Amino acid sequence: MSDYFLELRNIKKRYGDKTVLDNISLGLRRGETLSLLGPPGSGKTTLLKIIAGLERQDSGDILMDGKVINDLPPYQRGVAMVFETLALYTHMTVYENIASPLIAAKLPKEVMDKKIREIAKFLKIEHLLERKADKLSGGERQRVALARALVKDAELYLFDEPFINLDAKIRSALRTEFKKLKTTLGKTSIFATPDPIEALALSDYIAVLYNGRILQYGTPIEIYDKPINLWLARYLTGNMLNELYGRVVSQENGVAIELTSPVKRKILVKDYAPNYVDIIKELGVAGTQQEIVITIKPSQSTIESSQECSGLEIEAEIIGYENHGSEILVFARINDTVLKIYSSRDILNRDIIGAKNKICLDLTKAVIYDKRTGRVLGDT
Amino acid sequence: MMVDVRLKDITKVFGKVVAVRNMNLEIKDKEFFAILGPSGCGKTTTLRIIAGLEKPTKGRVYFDNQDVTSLPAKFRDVAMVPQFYALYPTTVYNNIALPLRSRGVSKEEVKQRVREVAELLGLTEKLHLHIDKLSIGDKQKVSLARAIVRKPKLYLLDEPLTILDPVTRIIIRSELKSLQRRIKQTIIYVTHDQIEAMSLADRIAVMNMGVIEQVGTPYEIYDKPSSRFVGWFIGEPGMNFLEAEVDKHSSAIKLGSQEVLQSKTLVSKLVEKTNNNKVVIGVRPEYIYLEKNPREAGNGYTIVKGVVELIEFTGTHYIVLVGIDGREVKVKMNVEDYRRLNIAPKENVYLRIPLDKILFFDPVSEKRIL
Amino acid sequence: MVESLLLYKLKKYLRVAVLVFLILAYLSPLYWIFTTAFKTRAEMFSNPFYLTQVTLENFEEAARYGAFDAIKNSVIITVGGVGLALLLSVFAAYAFSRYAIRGKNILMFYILSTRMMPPIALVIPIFVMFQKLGLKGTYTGLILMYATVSLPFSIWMIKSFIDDIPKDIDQAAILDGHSLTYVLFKIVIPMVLPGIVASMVFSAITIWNEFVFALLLSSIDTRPTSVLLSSIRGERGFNWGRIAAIEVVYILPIIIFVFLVQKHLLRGLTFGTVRR
Repeated sequence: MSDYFLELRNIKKRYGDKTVLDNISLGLRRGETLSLLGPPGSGKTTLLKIIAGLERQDSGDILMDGKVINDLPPYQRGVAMVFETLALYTHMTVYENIASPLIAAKLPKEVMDKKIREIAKFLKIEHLLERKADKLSGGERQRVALARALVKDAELYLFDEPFINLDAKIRSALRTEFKKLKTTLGKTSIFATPDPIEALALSDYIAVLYNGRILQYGTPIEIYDKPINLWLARYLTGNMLNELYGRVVSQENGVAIELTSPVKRKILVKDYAPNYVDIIKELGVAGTQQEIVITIKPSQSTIESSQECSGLEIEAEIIGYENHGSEILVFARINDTVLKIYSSRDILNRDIIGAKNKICLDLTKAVIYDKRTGRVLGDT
Repeated sequence: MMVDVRLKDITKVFGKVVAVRNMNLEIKDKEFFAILGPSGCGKTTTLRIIAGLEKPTKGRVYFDNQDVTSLPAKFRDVAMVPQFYALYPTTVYNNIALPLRSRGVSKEEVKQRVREVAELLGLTEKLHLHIDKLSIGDKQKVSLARAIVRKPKLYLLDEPLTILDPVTRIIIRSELKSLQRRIKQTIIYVTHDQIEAMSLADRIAVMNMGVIEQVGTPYEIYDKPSSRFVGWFIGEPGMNFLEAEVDKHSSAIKLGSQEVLQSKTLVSKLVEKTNNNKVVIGVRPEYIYLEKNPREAGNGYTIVKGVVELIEFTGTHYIVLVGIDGREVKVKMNVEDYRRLNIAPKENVYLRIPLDKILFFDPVSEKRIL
Repeated sequence: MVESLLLYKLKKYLRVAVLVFLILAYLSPLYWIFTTAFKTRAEMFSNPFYLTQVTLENFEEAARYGAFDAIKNSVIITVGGVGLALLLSVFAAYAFSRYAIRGKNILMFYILSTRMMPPIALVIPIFVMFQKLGLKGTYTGLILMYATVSLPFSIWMIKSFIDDIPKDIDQAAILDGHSLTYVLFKIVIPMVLPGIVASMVFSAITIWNEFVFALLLSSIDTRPTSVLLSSIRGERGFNWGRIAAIEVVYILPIIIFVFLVQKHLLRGLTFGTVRR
């Protein structure tokens, strides 16, 4: 017996001849938050709807507290859900929307009223209660949908990309509020999102979905620090990953990497990334000329010219930047590769566009992938 | 050609909704000017008024001191690049040439000008491709080229990059910035993305609910927001705001039971500006340091005690939410500092805040007072 | 530049003038009918444009010819036909929109194609059928006939409105714990109300104006206004005043009806189109 509250075993689902979910197995303990992270079409919504009982899996079991609930209708599963479309009843007032699950539960009027006002106060929508649901702003609609789900005394809360259509600013504000809410209420929840930052920030565990399969499962830190393949590494950084290409060669003085792009240079692994010496040796790839991709996140590089560089130094031309206020994300081009590096705002004290600049990449922080398979090295 | 744009007392009402309220704005010649605000703040309406696509309910629009308020759009000689390109199903060349042909420009000149513009935007190789063969980024470039080829007085861009994927967006954004340096023309750029405005513009007007909250350079707005809204809207996460009490007798500013700082001159200035003993402290999340053990504040810093409520990992940073006597402060830390600190929810922490990064806002008007 | 600006303004005024002319052209027959209905016989030809003296004698005469009975019949048939069609089409539309019915597309096409059949081609078999069933000349028969005629378009229109509501809405309500009946009547129907009203108006206008079936399937007691109007002929040619009076009474209910539901109707007409 596992101690899982919710358990999925080998869930499969096809629409016609398209496999939407392929052998999904997952477990979730009470009070935990799990994120389903994946690009559109990866099967997140279908999985949530199967858990809710709104759709039926082709095979596999859903267990709650160790009991199979495959045949339980949706309203008996103790599940509340916020839909991607929010699914507000636009012809009703906010009050009536939030009341909906309570009316279905046939609660007495006074109890209902008290609950509605409590949750409305909690989500700061008290002033909207009498407003029609189609007269709300994006952020307000989102809160109402949240209130309608949370007012229900459910055991499991499902959230399907609830912030997706909001301005970035409102979105991040709601994200923090949402996490606070979750922490205060201590409810078990599953949160589907295509946004890596949301998944990282909100959850205890992340399951990365890709083409209906679980690509990687782990804590946010595990996943962010060591994405299992190159696709995920790029996805997690919003395609802001720096990638160096090369092949592993053996030399008398140790294992070396012969870089081919964006610069041609031969570097000794023990000098630049001593933590990788053993991994590369164990893999037995030394001397096989295996092609690899070395990835470094923008925050793990520097561009300040004053500092001594202990990593790989590359000279590149600055072609643009993104101003994040206290930090500047600098884009520098070398041989058709654009490197992305965070820098302090002081760099804008001079006119940097078009300037050549030294960039220092810290290879000890790098994650290395097999170029052919795309899989991370040193993953056992 | 030069143009500076001036809006005087502009108000625009749609039915019962006031989209723009009493706006005064001056945009200088050759300036890259951004109008920034959340959706529904009136920024697009402002742009459409400048273009002549909407007539203001009240107020005047001037181009170079010439009143153009009732001049129809097509006589203002402005080019507007929309959020979604509207291109014709023909070659890139024909798409760019079209605005010239419809103006009766000679064939030779059309050829020359299209080539010039294509060169400018890196479209030369693609001139004879059909529009369907282009990537979204290139299509938006064609849309831009079609505006540039007319050599208008003024460019109006309405979130032209939102449909692009992040990487293409950044590349085109950089190109747009360097393009503006070369063509040396006034560009007015509307966006809801603060990072885009900060990265592109010489000056930014921040709008909220139909009103301009502040006009300034990116760092004027970032460092000295004129209101709570601007402080919150710029920066990720936005500025922290903490209600504090001003104690005239001890010349101290207090957060609940904790004294934040003591300064006779500061307190007297604050008292002078608000006739209230309450003030709102504003400080950006990235300027606060967290410490586990209490230390001397040291020169130029103040130390405040709090409890960790929540920790958010965003990949590039950690955001720690700290509670101080019922108030909440977000602290933004880089990954290494956070992991070195090793804190968990419900633990006591000490916030070290540089005094020169603290701003003061009026609790009622929400404007910055110091 | 200055010259072309002038031209631009000229064009603008010209556009307005054309629009005003068109509106007047459309309204003039209505104006003529309304004024004629209130004119005395003497004034009718001497003063075709203005109304100087108001009289109700045309209406009195219309009443003698059974105009008000015919209006009553029109109302009964229209209300009954529209009501029955709506009831059936809402259920059918929901099923077509939400359930995976085998051969759904073919079925939908078949339903809609009955609408393309010219009424005159159907009228003889239906006449024979109604006579055998004893439905000829009864309200029930006419109501059944008109409900049948209205159904295809009604189903098709309401279905496209329900299609516009995300299925998530139904699912959200089911997760809230509601029954399917509740979902249909309290959630889905109120949300497609503009569409239901629009289809109601279309059906009502069609039935109200229908002539061919009415002529053949009604009796003296049940004949609607459209049939009455065609049968009125004075002893000495047409009595325009009387015809105008009946027409006023005939047009008014539908104008008032459309006016009452115009808010929903406008939303109904733009609802589906704008978002696509």
